[in-house]
Amino acid sequence: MRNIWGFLIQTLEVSLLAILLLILKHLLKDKLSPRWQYGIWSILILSILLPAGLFGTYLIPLLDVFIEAVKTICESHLHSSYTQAYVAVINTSVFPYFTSFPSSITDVLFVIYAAGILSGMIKYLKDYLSLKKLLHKAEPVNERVKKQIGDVAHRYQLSPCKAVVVEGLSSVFVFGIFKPVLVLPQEEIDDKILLHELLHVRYKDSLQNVIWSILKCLHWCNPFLHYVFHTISNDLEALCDQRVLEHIQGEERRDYGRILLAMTNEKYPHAFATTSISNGAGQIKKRIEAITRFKKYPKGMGLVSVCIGILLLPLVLGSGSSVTMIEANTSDFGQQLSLASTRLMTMPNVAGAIDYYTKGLLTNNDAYIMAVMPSSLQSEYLSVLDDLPEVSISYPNEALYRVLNLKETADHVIEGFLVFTNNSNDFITSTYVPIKLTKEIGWKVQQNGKVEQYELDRSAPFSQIRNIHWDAPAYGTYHMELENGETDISVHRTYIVQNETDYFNMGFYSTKPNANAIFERSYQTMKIKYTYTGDDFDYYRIESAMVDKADKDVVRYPTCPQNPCTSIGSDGSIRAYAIDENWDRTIEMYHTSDVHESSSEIEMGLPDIFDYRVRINWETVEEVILDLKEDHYE
Amino acid sequence: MNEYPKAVSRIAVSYLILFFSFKLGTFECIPHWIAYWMIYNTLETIAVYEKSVMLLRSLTVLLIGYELISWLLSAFGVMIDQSFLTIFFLALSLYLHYQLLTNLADIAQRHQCSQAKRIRQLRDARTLFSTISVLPISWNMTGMIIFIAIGLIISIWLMRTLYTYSYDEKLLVRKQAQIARAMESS
Repeated sequence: MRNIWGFLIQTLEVSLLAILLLILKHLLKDKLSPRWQYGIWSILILSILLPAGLFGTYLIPLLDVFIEAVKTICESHLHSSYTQAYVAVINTSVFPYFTSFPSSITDVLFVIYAAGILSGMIKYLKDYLSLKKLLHKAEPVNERVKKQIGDVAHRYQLSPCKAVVVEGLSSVFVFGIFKPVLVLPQEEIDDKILLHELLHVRYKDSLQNVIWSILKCLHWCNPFLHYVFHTISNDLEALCDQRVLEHIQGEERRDYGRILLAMTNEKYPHAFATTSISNGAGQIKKRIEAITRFKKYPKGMGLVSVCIGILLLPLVLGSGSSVTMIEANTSDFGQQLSLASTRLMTMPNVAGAIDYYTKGLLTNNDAYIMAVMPSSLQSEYLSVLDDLPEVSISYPNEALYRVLNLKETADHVIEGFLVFTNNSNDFITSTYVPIKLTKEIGWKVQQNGKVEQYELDRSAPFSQIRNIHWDAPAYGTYHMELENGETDISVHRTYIVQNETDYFNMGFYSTKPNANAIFERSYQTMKIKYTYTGDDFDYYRIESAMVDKADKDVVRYPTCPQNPCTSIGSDGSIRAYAIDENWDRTIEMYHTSDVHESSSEIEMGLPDIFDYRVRINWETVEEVILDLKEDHYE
Repeated sequence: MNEYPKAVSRIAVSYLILFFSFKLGTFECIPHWIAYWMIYNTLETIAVYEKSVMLLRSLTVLLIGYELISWLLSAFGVMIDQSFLTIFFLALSLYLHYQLLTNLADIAQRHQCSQAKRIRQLRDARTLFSTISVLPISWNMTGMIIFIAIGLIISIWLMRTLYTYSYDEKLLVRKQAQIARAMESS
């Protein structure tokens, strides 16, 4: 937890869960046993110890957005060290830690909060040590009391423990965690009181109190949670009462009630690492009411208690839906809420992030762009939004837009291009927008260079292989010096993002972004230009083939059975010429391969390894294995 | 006339309603709040034999309210994504059904009806099934079919058991009436 806003989110989530548990306990208070009433608080422990939003969801998502908006409004005028105004607060720990000295009021508040935790712990430790010192000097109990404790322990099959007597003490309590000590007043003590305390020892209730005290320190400034922890402590006592009542019979139960009644006017000790039979007049009254409706809860209630506990677990893990975008309204705070909601959105997939960015460009929707804006650009978001390129499409033949040449250039950094295509009678014009994706909590997208436009002449032969502009930046270009020539290969990889069809809009693609979009297919297109530098012949019969070598032990090259022939095969392209000596000694061919399986990753199984062969006059002049990944050939 | 056997039959029907769903678009034809309303109307009758069942009144009212509001909203196509509320009411309904069936089983046992043990067993099976059905398990097709089949078997078996129990209670009532008449005439 790095700042006060992280604490605010955490304590509000815990408080909300506590409210739900209190309501549930109230509804079921006379229906489920004190064991369940106390046991259900274990869900609160999980909630306190797990960072809020750990799984990307909160109990109430809008609460998180609200706090994010308030944080931005406050922090945009401060220069905090622990908080960035435009970076969403994500708790990775429930314990506070500091990265530098405080430099704003919110930083100081966070330091005060952390100091409060520390001083709470120190106070508990000090109280513990003082009490320990005091009890160390106390007199051990006399033989009669020792025998009484032993008899009670033996009768109810419990372990006896060390006991001391303290003058002036009003009530019995147990002190200590690992070596508990029973602390008694000088007066005679009823067996049932001893039973109560020995049951505390048996079930290590002092240790449980210590745990609750430590958890209370983490939320020392939340008064509502103080009330909750007080309720937990009372539930622990009620559970101990239940255990006592299960051990005693008939009239003894009424006696036990009378004993509690007699304690209503007594002060009660309430110290760290202690448990006491007396916990205040108000609680004594409730405990007596519980005794009057005591019953041994039927067998099998454990099953429904566990099942209810399992059902409630998602509340801890944050079962609320993940943040959805809030549309901005005209008010300033409404704007901030909308921006906060965009900052809190996370794009789990590269394709989803690209879809948001692209549809933001297409529809001029700033919120879509903001949803994927890197945190480093958030503080200057207005100038980023002003500088966005204007794009339009009129040729969505295979997709609303295409994504080209995605390549991981560094750890969690991907670069590529968005391509928007427009069609006229003579040309196909494509606008290339360079983009960079970076992984923060989710994927973020930004423009990564100048926008360029490229044209394809619709009338030029073989220029429209999959609408690729060969003069546009490629996925990779390779130059190879071979035995009898040299070859230049340009590789382009195209990804098509999943997009629904908007049937209400004449069957066009939907312009609503999908955060969970994936790449529904991809294809790779290669242009191979070979220049022959070998022997001269009077006549050239040329064959050239590029075959995907993936998963192939034997590569079969398509052949050209007769002269002249020109063909492009489906598995490896071949272009065959029958030409006289006026051949310009170059061969240009194209190869394309498709992957039709959808994927959320950019590695879609496009082939990397190829066999390339050139035959002239039935003689193989070149045969190489090209590995695009290694940029290597042999 | 003792209304208890009729009350048990109504509870059997309510479990049928709770398991099945007949929707026309977004409109649920036999909504769950009707089932809870039927249960609510039987509580006083059951309380003649088991007073503690009246503790379930407040829970039943809450569940009627929740199911009614959800039904009306979904009928108008309004979906509210507040899963913590759903979980909360699921927990309440889990307890309600468990306790109700426990009460019925206790009464059956006191009346020496043979269905007492079966009701408890089906109570436990239903509780487990309801808990597992909300866990985020990604079922394959076969698993889902088997799971739904198990749920169907549990629901139908429970209904059948409650119906036969209600019949046995009816016979018991008749027998008691005959004995009472015979004693009067003697």
